[in-house]
Amino acid sequence: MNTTNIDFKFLVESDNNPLIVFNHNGKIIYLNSNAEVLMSYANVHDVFELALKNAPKEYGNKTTQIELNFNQLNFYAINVSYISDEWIAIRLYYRPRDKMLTKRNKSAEIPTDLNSLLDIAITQFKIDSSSNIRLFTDQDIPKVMLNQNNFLKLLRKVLALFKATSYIDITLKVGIGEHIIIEGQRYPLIDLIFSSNGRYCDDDDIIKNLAKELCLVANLKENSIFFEIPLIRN
Amino acid sequence: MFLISRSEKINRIYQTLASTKELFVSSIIYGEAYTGKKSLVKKIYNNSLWVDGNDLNNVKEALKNSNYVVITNFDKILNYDELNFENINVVAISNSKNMDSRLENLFAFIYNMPSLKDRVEDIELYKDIYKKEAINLYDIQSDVEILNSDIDISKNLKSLKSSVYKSVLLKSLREDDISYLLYNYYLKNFSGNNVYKKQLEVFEKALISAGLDIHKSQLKLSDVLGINRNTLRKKINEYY
Repeated sequence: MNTTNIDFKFLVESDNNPLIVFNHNGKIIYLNSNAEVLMSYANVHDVFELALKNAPKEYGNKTTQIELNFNQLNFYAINVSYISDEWIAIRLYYRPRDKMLTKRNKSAEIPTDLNSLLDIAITQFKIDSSSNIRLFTDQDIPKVMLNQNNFLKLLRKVLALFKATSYIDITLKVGIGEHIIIEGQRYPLIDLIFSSNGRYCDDDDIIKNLAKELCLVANLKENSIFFEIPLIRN
Repeated sequence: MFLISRSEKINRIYQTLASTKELFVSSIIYGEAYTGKKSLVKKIYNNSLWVDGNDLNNVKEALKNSNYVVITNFDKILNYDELNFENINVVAISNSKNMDSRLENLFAFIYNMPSLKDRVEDIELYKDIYKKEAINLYDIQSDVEILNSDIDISKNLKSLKSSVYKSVLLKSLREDDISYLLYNYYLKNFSGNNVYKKQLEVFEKALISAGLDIHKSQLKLSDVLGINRNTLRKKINEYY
């Protein structure tokens, strides 16, 4: 079969797994569109070091099973290849996202302004807390269908986990290039991130359950809590 | 906003509660009785349907038929797992001093109303409010000084109000009021032997206490009262 008409660059470009090519100095000389998403969370130098550390001893390629997390992006393996000393490429393989098995409780969902709810939750939290809250939000985020009561309950419980910290950074923004499938429908994601220099972990299980009921993806780490909220408009 | 509190915490509770007025969200405000919970909620949710937690069936009906419900005496409800808060704005008022974990998971917002002893600024505020009310009610023409020792905050605003009213009334009594008061008191307490000696104490103890507060010295007081200082000392030993 003649393969000369196949546009391999297009295939690489549209691959769901990030591919990054560095020169011998660690400078990026190519990255596909999914690698652009990755590089908004990962440090260039760290990824280059990762490639060098896992490179094959001779020209060729080597696949390594390795658990990697860059914020909410999780990978289970990498493939490093080079056939000259001028460049080295690394491809990271996404861990398949757990399917969102929770069914939407549509009767409890109403169009909700996430920024307003976040403001209210912060005002309530500040009644008994002196933590300095730095809010980074996109005011143009559209309304999403959500159970307001449970979402505010979730925000209260999340903020309470940071009550002993001196500051809390809260970011609300549209996720870049990411989607989730719920009941066969594909939805873009909104990222809601709480981070500080520490936190309690007492209610982590309750938070995971509440997030699940709301069809949110929760990622709880040592100093931060990350939610992906499906942008459901109706 | 009508000022119901000078406490920063209470004003923050008010603001947050007011900002959730149009949302389908469940809130509970809890704390000791007579701290002003109901008044605060009434200022925001006067148009909601108000139901008493003592009548569970009525509460369930209200939650079924109305979008805006206030439940008073929520601490009287034991089976609150049966309540459905979906797509309703609910505010519950509870006289519980503590919040248990089951309720923590039931409500989106939880507010603790501080007791009056933790709101010194409000003690002064309400002391003045109640004093003006009492002066107006009893039609007293001059100002009345209320000392901190006159007031009782053991039952928050309830005992504060009653102690201020009582103090205003007692401090504005005239001689004929006191005679009338004593007359009624003696009518009820005129029994047994040695009535004269026993009831004299009611009059003498107050007289000697006030005299000691004014003159600070027993010698001076005996002169002013026109009685022997040994007699005065004997009475002081007897009454105190």
